[in-house]
Amino acid sequence: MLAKLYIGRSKQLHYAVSAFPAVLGAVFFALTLTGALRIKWYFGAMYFAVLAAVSASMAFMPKFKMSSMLEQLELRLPHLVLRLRTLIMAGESPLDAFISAATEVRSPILDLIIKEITLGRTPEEALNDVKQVFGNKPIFDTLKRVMLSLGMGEEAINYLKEEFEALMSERESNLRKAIESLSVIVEMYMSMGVFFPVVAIVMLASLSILGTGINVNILIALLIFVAIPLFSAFSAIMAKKIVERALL
Amino acid sequence: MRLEEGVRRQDLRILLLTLPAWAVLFYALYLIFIARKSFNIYDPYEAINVSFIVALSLIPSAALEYKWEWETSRAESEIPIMLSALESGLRAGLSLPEALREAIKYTTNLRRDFIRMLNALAAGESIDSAVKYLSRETPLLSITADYIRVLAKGGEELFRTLKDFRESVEVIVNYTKKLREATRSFVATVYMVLIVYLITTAIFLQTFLFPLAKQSSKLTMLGHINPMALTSLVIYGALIESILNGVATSYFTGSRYLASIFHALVLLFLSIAVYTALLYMNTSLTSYMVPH
Repeated sequence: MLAKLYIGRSKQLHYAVSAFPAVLGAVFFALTLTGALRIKWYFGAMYFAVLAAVSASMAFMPKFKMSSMLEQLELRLPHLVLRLRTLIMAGESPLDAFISAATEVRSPILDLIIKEITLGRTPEEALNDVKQVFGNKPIFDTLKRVMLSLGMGEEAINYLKEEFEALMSERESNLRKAIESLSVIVEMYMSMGVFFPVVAIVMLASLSILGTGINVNILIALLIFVAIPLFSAFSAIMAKKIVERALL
Repeated sequence: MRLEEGVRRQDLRILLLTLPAWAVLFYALYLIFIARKSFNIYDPYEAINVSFIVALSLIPSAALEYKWEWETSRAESEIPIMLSALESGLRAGLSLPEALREAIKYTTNLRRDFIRMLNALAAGESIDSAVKYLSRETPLLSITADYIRVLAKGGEELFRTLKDFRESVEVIVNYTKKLREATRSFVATVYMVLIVYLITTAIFLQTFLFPLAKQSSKLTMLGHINPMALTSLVIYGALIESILNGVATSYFTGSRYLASIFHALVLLFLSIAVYTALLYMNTSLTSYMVPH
């Protein structure tokens, strides 16, 4: 069902290709250990560690993508419910309304469900198929309730209204947690990304004057051109993840 | 036709956000091929030039990102007001286009798109075609556009669904407002960060490093440090800190665009002015410059 996430649409091929950098690193490391290469063993270990990390990230990429798809669905669920309710209120048949709303929401998981439905599966069967791929996540229980409401007739409108309100109150309680996490990241960013570089520049420059013969320019350049951007990027990614979960 | 309408917003964003990189590249090419100089990372005057070029080339991007963020958030907050007015109009017996024309009088940022949609309808376009003039920048704007289409197709009797829809939209708008209010204080980060950096480094350079460098021939016991090289690194530090702060703070505040770059840019210009003044106050130190 999610073959496109794997290299060559095959799990075996995906893991074989993913293992390649680690194997290459291991061979390189073994050659440094045996003395076949004139490089210190710890450099070999470093290359091995980097290549093993590349392998691991390649191997886990489909899992990361699946997790991101789940997050996206969770994020868009209130919109799906609101759209669905509006379309049912406008007089569309519940199934057509679901397909139309799910298409507009642009979630890969909902696209999979629509694909299954258009192939002739019932909504419940389509959801069960998706559950088998993604595992039994709480989001699927909500989605199941929404899909079951399609058979409720007139009552579906009221049910979807309640479901929307429940989803929004859950969001509000998560918002508090998100703001707390963001505050921690902002504090960490202020101290590590800003105050630390300032203190480091002043200290390194002062120490190089007091202690003779040390060239601190390279250290300060590394701090400014490598450490600050890396730490800022890390903080921005963390903040983006948290805010995206909270945003609607 | 406005530039934003002719070019897709996402493409324009990419183009403008990469503008500083292009500007620096052209500056480097100018140095190498026209001025016949090599690029020296430890030259503070070049650091000032690079910072100024980056700051100048970021102005269009910063201004548009700020404007888009403002317009999008305002447009979202105007939806419930517009829906409420639309409901009143429909209840009073107006046709949907008439009710929409009345409703958009209560909006500012939504008005332009709705007028274009209504003009397209008046010109004979179908609702499916006319609704494309409505902004779909956020999921809420997109849902509203779809709702208007449903309303137009379903007939005016659908105004009974308006109240429910408006209430749901209000829940989403209030939620977004709460998020923005809770994260608004993080904008202060961008100011605090750059001001702390600027004040600390300026005091350090002016009261410690530059006087010490001027007396270095007498103070033989002390080690030497190139004040010009360090000043150059400090200026690059301010440039990197300000831009990255702008980006990080935009995420901290939950903006859909990099709106905080606008604030960061103001501080970057201030930093450039302070460091330029420092350099002109200490022109005697240019002998420390590493030759090109």
